[in-house]
Amino acid sequence: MTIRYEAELQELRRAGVVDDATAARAMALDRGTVFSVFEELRVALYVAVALITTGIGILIKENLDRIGPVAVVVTLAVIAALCYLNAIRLCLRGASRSLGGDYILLLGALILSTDVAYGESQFHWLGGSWSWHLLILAGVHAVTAYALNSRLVLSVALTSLAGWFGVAHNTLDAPGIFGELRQLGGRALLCAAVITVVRWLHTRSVARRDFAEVFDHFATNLAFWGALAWCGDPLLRWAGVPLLTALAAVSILKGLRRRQEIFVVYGILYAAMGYSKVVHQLIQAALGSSIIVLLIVLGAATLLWKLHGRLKESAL
Amino acid sequence: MSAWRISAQQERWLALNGLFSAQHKTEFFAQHIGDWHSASFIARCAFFVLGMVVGTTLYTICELFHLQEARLIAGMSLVVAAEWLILSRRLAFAGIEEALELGGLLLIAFEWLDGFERSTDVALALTAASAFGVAGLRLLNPLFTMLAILALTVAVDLTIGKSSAHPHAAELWTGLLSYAIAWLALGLGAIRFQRPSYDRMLDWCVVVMSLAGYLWLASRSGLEPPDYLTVREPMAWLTLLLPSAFGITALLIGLRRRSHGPLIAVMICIACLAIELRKLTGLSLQARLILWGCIALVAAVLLERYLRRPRAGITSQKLGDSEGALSLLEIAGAATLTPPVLAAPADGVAPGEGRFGGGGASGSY
Repeated sequence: MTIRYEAELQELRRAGVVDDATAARAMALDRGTVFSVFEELRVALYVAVALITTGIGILIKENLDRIGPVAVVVTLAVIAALCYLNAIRLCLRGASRSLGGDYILLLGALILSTDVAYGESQFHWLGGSWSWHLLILAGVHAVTAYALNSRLVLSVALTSLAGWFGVAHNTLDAPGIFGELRQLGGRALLCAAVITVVRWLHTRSVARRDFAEVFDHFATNLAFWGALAWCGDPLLRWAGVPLLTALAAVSILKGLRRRQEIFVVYGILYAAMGYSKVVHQLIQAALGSSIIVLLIVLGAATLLWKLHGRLKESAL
Repeated sequence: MSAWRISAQQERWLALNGLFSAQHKTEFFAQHIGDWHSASFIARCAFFVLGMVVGTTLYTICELFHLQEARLIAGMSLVVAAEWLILSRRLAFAGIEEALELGGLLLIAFEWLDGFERSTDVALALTAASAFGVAGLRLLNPLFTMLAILALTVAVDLTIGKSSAHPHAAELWTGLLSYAIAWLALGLGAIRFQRPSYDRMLDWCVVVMSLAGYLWLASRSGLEPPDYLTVREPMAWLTLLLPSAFGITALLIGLRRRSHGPLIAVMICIACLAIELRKLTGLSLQARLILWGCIALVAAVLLERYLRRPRAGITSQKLGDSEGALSLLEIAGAATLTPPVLAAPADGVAPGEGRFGGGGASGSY
C-alpha cells in the first residue's frame, strides 16, 4: 500500500490501544518490510482447482467413446488418491498443511466426487437408489474432513448432502429458484435440520476442529431457502411466514450473541425477501404492493442499522 | 473538519479501525473518527442491496402514480435522502447512502437526457459517466469512479465508431485509451495520498482497465484470437503485447510498492494472455483448461513454498487473524465447485448400459 499510517500507529501504541508486538507488526506492514501475498495465492489456487475440475468434466463428457468408462473411473481414482496422499502423509507426521496442500486436497475431493458420480451414472452400482451415491460421498468427505482437518472438504461434504436431499446448488438460482416449491422447501428444511444435528454432535465431540462456522452457514442458508420456498407456495404460506420469522429471529439473536454480523444480515435480508414475496402474491394491486414492499425494505434497513450499532457498542 | 464529507484524517482512522477491530478499543477510534458512522464490508453490501431496492421501488411507485417526470421526482427524493443520511446522520462508506445517491443521480441524469429530442448513444454513455463520476467523487467510492471511466470509454468507442471509416478503429483506440488509463493509474499510485479511498480508486482502475483494455482490443476480432503463427497485420500483436507489457510493469511496481492492486492486475493479464493464445497449441478446450489449471496449481504451490520464509520481506504466510468475508467466500467457493447432481437414470436401464455412450460399460461397443 502507498498509504502510510505511521503517525497513527505510533499514537495507537502510545495510547496503549495496541501492544508493542502488534504495533511493530503493523508498522512493518505499513513500511512494506513485510508483505503477504497469501490472498493472491489463495485466488490463484482456487482458479487452478476450478479450471482442472471444469476441464475434467468436459473431458469426460466429450471423450467418453474414446476413453471408456473403466479407464475414466480408474484414472480419476488414481488422480484423487494422489491428491489425498500428500495430506495423509502430513497428517501421519503430525505436520500442518500449507495453503497449497489445502487446495490440492480439495481438488482430490472434487475429483473423487466426479469419479463416483460418473461411475454411478455408467455402472449403476446402486441401481434405483442411484442418488445414495451422494450420501456415500457426503459421508466419505465428512470423514476425510475430520481426519485431515479441512473446512474446504467439509464444505464439499455438506454440498453433497444437500444434493442427496435434492437441494443441489444448481437448482438454487435466486428468483426463479423454486420450481417445485413445496418439495424443495421441505427438503431444504430437512437438510438444514440434519446439519444442525450434526453440528450439535460436532460441538460435543472430542475432535477439535474449527468447523462450527461452516455448519452454521450451511444450515442457516438452507433453512432460509426452505422457508422462502414455502412462503412462495399458496398452500404452505401460512407455515412459511411464521417459520421465516422464527428463523430470522434465531439468526439475529445468534449473530448478536456471538458478535457475528453475517447472521444478523442473513436474518434481516431473508426476512425482507420473504415478506416482499408474500406481499406481491397477496396484493394484486401493483401500487399497494410496491408501497408495502418499500416500507418493508426501509424497516429492514433501519433494523439492520440499529443492530449494527448494537454490535459496535458491545465491542466497547 | 468538514461537515460536507468525512475528512482525510477521519478516513484514515476509519481504515485503521477496520484493521484493529478485533482489539475491542472502539472508543479510542471513535474519538478520532468523530460522529461519522460506517459499516463493515458485509453490512455495507447488505445496505447497498437494500438501498438499490428502495430506489427501484420508489421509482416504480412514482411511475404507478402516473407522475409527470417520475424519474426526476424519484431521483431528487433519493439524492435528498442520501444527502440527509450523510450530512445529518453522518454516514460514510455505509452502503445505503451510496446506493441512494447513485440511483438518484442516474434517474435525474436520464430524465435530463430525455429532455433532448435527439439523444444519442454517446450522450447516454456520457450521461451515465457523469452520474457515476459525481457519485464516485462525492462518496469516494472506487466502484462508482471505475464505472464512470468505463462509461467514458464506451462513449469514446461510440464516437470514434461513428466518425471513422475503418471498421475496427474504435475498438483499437478505446483499447489503447484503456491501457493508457491503467498505466496512468499505475503511475499515480506512487503519490502518497492522505485519503485511503484515492488509493483504492487507483487500484480498481489498474485492475479493471487492464481487463477492459484487453476486451476492447480482442473485440476487434469478435473475441476470436488470430493465428499468431501466421498473422501478418502488426496491429494484431497489440492484443498480445499490451497485456504482456502491462503485466510485467504491474508486477515490478506491485512488488516494489508492496501493493495488492497491481498484483491482481498481473493475474488478470496472465488470464488474458492465456485466453488470447488459446488457439496456438491446437489443444482441445478441456486439455487447455486442465493444462492451465495444472500450471497455475504447480506455480502457486511452488511460490507458496518458496515464500514460506520471507524473501525481501515478501511472504506467503497469512499475516493477521481476521478473515471475515474471505473465509465465507472460500466456503461458498468450495461448495460451488462441487460437481452437480446427475439426473436420475431412465427406467429400465440395467447396470452396464451407460447413458453417455458407455464405451465398454455394457461390454460391447
